[in-house]
Amino acid sequence: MKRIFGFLLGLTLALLLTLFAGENPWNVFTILVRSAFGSMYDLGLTLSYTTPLIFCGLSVAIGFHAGLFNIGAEGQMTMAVVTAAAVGVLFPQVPFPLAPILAVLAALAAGGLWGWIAGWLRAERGSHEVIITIMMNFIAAGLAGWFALKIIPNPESQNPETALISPNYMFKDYDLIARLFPDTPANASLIFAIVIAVLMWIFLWKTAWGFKLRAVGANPEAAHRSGISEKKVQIAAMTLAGALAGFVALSEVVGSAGQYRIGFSPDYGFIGIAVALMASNNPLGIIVSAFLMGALHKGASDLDLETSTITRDFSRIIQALVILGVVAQGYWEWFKHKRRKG
Amino acid sequence: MTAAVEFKGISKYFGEVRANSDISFSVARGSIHAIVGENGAGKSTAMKILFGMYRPDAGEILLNGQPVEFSSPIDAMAAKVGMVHQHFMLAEPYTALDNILLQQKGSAFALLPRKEQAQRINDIADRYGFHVDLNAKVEDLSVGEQQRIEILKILSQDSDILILDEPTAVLTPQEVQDLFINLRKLKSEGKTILIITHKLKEVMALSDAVTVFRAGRMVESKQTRDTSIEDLAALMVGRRMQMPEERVSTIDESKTLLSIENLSADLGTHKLRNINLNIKSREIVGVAGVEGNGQDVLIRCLLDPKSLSKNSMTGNIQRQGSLQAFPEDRLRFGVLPSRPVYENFLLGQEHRFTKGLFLKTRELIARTREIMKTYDIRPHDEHLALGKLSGGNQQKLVVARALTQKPDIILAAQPTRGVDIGAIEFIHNEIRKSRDEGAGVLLISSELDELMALSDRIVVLYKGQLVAEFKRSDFNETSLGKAMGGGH
Amino acid sequence: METMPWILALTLATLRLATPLIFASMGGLMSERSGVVNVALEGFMLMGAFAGAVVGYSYASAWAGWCAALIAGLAIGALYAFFVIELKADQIITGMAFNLLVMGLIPFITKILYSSTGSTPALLVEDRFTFEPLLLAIALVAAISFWMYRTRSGLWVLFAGEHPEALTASGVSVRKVRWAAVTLSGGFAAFGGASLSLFLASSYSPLMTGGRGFMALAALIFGKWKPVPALAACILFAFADAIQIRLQGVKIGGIEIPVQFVQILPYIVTIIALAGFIGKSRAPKALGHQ
Repeated sequence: MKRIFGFLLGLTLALLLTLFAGENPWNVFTILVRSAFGSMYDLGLTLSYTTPLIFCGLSVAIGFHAGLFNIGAEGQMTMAVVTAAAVGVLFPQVPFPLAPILAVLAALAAGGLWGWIAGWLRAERGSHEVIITIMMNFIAAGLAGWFALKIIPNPESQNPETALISPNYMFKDYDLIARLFPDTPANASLIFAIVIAVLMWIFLWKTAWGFKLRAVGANPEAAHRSGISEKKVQIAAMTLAGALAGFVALSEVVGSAGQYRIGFSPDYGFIGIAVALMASNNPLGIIVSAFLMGALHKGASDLDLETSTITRDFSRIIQALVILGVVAQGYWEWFKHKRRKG
Repeated sequence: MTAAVEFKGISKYFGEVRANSDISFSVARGSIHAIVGENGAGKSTAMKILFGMYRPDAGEILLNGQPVEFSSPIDAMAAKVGMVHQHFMLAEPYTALDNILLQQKGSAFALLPRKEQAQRINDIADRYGFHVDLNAKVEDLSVGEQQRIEILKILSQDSDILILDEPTAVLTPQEVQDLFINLRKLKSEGKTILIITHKLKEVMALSDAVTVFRAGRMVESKQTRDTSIEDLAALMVGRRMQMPEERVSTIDESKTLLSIENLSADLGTHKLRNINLNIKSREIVGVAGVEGNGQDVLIRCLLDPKSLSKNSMTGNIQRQGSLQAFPEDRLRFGVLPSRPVYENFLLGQEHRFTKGLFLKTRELIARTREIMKTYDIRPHDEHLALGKLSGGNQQKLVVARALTQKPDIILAAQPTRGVDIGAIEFIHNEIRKSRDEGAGVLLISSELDELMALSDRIVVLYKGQLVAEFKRSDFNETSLGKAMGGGH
Repeated sequence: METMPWILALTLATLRLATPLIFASMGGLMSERSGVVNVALEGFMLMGAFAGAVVGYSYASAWAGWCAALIAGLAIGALYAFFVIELKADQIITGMAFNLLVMGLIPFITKILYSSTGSTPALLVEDRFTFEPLLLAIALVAAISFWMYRTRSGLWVLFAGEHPEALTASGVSVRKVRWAAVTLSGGFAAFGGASLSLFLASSYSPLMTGGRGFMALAALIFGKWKPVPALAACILFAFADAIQIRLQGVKIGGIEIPVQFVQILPYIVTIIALAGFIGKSRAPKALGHQ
């Protein structure tokens, strides 16, 4: 309940900010809503943002459950997406049902590796995972950019993107969701994302491994004393986090675009932090909060056109204020305290 | 003559909890006044009110007959009241001098007057006998020396009233003797000393008057010479204490459960040297010693030898059967405070409650509920976050978790630290029960009373070596204390 | 290639590139030594870079921009202090949210001011700094290391991060000390940003910090939370950056090193520094505790 209030407070503050730009906050709000849900096309785009946000939210959340802050979902995702594109471009002969599976597995491995590096550095070398994962994001962007532009560039376009993967890798023909939302990138990976979220919920709350992971997050020293190897758990959690972020390759490459486009992500990895926070790291809640943040993002993207002074960057302000609204729940006590004093 | 300190009807509530209720007593100037009571009896709260850390909800405090109202320790210090906290307020990477200078007022951007103050503080130390190397970093000093820094902090402010919270808990018997000599010296210089303790022998040895707290109330305040240990103990608990059990040893000599041979280990700050120790079935072996003499290394060797490299650990540890431990620091090593009780019960015995990949949550919750009843862990709510339970109830859960797994060997490290008397008795009896059922127990404790009540024999750990061994028939506090201080 | 001028140029480039890092890591030092984790340095720097560029341009004076950066930095530092000290919000999450907030706010403001979301208009070359921020940065390190270990308020900051209860017990408000330290942290980090937009470049361009706030934090950890070693770490990272710029387009054995490989060099150096040497580095004991 408090989280919903925090979300609304953040959103309201962000809308009030638009007063400084000479806009009417209510007007901006209606634009946000209309642009997110106004038509099947709009809803399709909203859902296409929701899918990667679920994956990134889960990635951040599993880190939090193990007591780690994964700011590296962005880089893990980037490595995975470029790997999936590479597989699809370099091995065009692989036949259909095998091809997408191969590409996604390769993507998971790449994302997982990127997470594993950060987890290993944290567990074995004591390096601060926040700084490490940030640095890894920059490195991933550099490597992926090099690979996309120098090794498998798109010969038919000036855009910074890879060549298109072989059609064997795409499952468009069987995609009911894509048919429901024509001309949008929405695709069946949304269902898959929801399934993964449910599986993660079962893993965290119903299995012994999930309990061990949460125990390390709650008190690593006590977990260690009880016979859990907290280092292994930390490394595993970061690897899983990387793989979860890597699933974005499914929706982005195999499911819709068929290529890696540099800059395709509006910082999904960072928005994932807000998604996970709003849901208290509960995988089922993440489905809902990813949808909300996806809607906000889609809504904000039309502000460029529909207002004269507000741009799509405004969604960052909304995200930041929503995070602050949720995380700074101390304002309840603070106001109470002030009132008592005053 | 007016009293140096007078409590008049002081009450203090924390939410619903009544920490102090209508406390009234007075402390004569130039005397040593002991405040005794069980954990949670409200003695620390009362002293923190005197030191301005808490504000009373009712009543007033008089210093030298004048009512005072402190809103913070600053006010208290200005009124020449000083306090040595149980957990020292010292920053380890900095020097003794800097820790003392922190106390002194002065302009924010003025240079620290290190040289002049060092001179002045050394003079004070000479006068009362609290010598300490002012330029040494706190982390390099012994606990006794750190306590002297704390006292010097107060004396350097010319305080007249000193409050000491459990000052002997961490000291060797020799250090305790030195402290008492110095405290008497302070008294003869006209200082008034309030000392919180639960060690009644020390009350008798040191104090002029004593006030007893029980359950937030002041139950008695009288001259020490008009009372006795038995009286005070009865007042503290509200009933006569049980005598320690008299038991005939039933040690199963034929069955060695744990044998430690020539164990040496080095963890940098703390070491173990050449330890030999056997524990038989139905035997409790106590390890006495002031903290920091290698107990942590011993625990680590027993519980987590894998984390020690071959170079840093030599020797042999052989175990017959399973081992369970009560961790020495419950909150740090034993529990997940933010998680519900049943998940804490699960910790370390996941295999007992899993079927395939999945947790048998229903069975786990049912079992936890049952355990909470038999061990009387309150409140009876297995979904409550463990951190919301009192220390005693948390510890009972830790004990229950270990003992219900029926271990052959029990490593009980500080099993009753921070636990109220009722829970202490309960935990002691559980340890005895397990012993009678055939377990061997290694009891590591810094409480001599506990060691003597439970152990069949006691070995003394000093600077990483076993320096002495006592049979049950030879237990006595003086010789044990001497060995703990290295004077064997 | 003549060696001497090349080395001189590299040294100068290293020092120039170190300037923003030094300011930011001193900002981080203030905050973290007082016990407050600060991953918002990146945002503080952006704020300073932006405010400096805007005001510097409109008054055609780098110094005016410098002062504006200070004010903007102090303001955002104080806001961060409010969240983490008064509202007791999680320090790392709040820090990240602040980075995000600044990244959103700056285009919001540029759009209002200049009807564009890109760079700000550039200062004339003769208006921008030539060397001053570098000297100020080194002076700041000297001042902090003197102040922190020799004055009473320096001791307060050290104790706020190491043993806040001791500070409270001696009658000094930990809250106030942290407020001051965190607010100043914003000011110093903003100087770092302003040295980017008024010294290394002559305007603000979007996301121009490029992770330097985090590198500064890494330098602080690598430098064991001490002013002079942190300065040395900043110079190391800046050296990697200077090499990076010089290596672009250089051919080794006839093969040009891809520009992306060269650009990630400073980030790799940062990771290696954190992974290899942090072993004995000891954080202030109360760092991150509420």
